[in-house]
Amino acid sequence: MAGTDHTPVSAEADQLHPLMAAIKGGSSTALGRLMDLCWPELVRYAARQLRDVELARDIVQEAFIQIWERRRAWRPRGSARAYLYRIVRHLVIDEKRKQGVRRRWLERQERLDVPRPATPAEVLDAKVLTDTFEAAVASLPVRRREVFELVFQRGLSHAEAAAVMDISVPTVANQMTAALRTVRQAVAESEAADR
Amino acid sequence: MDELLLRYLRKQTTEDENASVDALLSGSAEYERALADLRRLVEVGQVADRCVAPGDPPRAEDVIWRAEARGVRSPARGSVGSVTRIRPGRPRLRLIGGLAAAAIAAVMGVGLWNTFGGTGVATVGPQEFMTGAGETAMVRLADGSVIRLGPESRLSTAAGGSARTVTLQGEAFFAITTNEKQPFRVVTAAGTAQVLGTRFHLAAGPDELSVTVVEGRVALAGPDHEVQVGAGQATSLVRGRPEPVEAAPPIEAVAEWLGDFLIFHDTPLGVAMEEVERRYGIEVEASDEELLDRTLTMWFNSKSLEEIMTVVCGVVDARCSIGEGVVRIQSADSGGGQ
Repeated sequence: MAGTDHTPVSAEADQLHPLMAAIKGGSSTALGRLMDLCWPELVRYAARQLRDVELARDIVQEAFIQIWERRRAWRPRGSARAYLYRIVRHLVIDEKRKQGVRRRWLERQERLDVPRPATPAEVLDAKVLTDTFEAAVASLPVRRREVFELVFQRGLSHAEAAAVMDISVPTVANQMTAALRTVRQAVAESEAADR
Repeated sequence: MDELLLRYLRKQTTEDENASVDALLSGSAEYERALADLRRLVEVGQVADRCVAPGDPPRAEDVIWRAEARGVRSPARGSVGSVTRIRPGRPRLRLIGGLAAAAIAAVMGVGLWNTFGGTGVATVGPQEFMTGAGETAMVRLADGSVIRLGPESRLSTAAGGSARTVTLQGEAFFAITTNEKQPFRVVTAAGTAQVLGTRFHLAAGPDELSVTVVEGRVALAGPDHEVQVGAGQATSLVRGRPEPVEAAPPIEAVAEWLGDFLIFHDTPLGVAMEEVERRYGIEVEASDEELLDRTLTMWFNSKSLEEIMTVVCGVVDARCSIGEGVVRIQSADSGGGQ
């Protein structure tokens, strides 16, 4: 079942090609399996771009509808995972262009899903760090932020991120290095200030 | 280096890469510090990521249905702004669908059922039905779908009543048989409703099409917009634009003209009994959950609770008792009984 993990899809990436092949042959079971595997990752990816988890779910649902619609045209070239992200990314870009980025965040209770009860101090620390992290990511230039989201948050390889964004692998590497420097420094400063 | 360390932290590195990272770490405190920083950053990123609750995906069948339904209408691709997401749902168990159908045929013979009739059917042509003020009509299509036509309404079917498309002016309650290969369409002046198999109420005016879904899903489509409505939800298309989807009031409040009319179509017993509870002001208790997944296909017009439960329990192969405002349903093979 989906929604229970934080494991990047890459661990299961080798399953995606056979699933896509089965979907191409009309297997609804394969589509269900693909959705179970990739739904959390793709929703998180879209939600972090759009700052709206409901809209992100709609986007990812639309992506799977399009995957089914285009199944006969799918060719087993390159990363199947990058193919999925590419579809979602295009839908996200369309959505941003059409409606503008929606800025409303989720309700705090929906957003926080810590794995165990934490002390108030821990909650505060985590919140401060998380906010610092989010602010640092948000401060990145658009393309650098997108590279960071794909590689750091979603666990895509540089080659996969390059395929999703239609840019070169060295560009991904350069953007990633710069993004990491910015975010790492912000988090380190926040932790130092807290000591 | 960062990419390698990231993959190392995610356990995505090869054995050779592991060996080189280990060598780097053992030879340099700087690398150890870099790895610790990166690990900390990954943890913070994971906490930030958990702030988004992705929820469960919709069912694959629903996604395929949406794709196929859209293929029929051929709208602009890639637009999601006007589409309501399919909610995740539990697959319906159909434990004794065949048995239910067979039992219905037997039950009809004992005369507990109303045949078509309704009150005051006016047939304008072989495929057109029209009602006046205070009148209702029952239309049964060749595929087994049943339509209860409300007052001052008009319904047209295709030749032979077999096609899965009708046109409607006014209001009607639909109980549509499931046919995944051929969606059922209701064409109105204000938009089109499309379903695979469900129970729902439509009110169609010149500029507004309202739907209340009791069971299943209905897609309302105007020229440029589409909205999908699930069980227990209601919405309208006003001049082609969808209103927000909201929780629906009970169907008997939406369509008072239905009166004591009850209709179930491949409806799980649990869902059907919720309607009986509301309609007759009683509570229903079942001995086990498996019973509640058994399906019913039947309708009643102005029947007593006793008559209804006699038929229902015969169809689902259960024993029923009624007393002190409670209906108790027990599997016939459970050995108990009252």
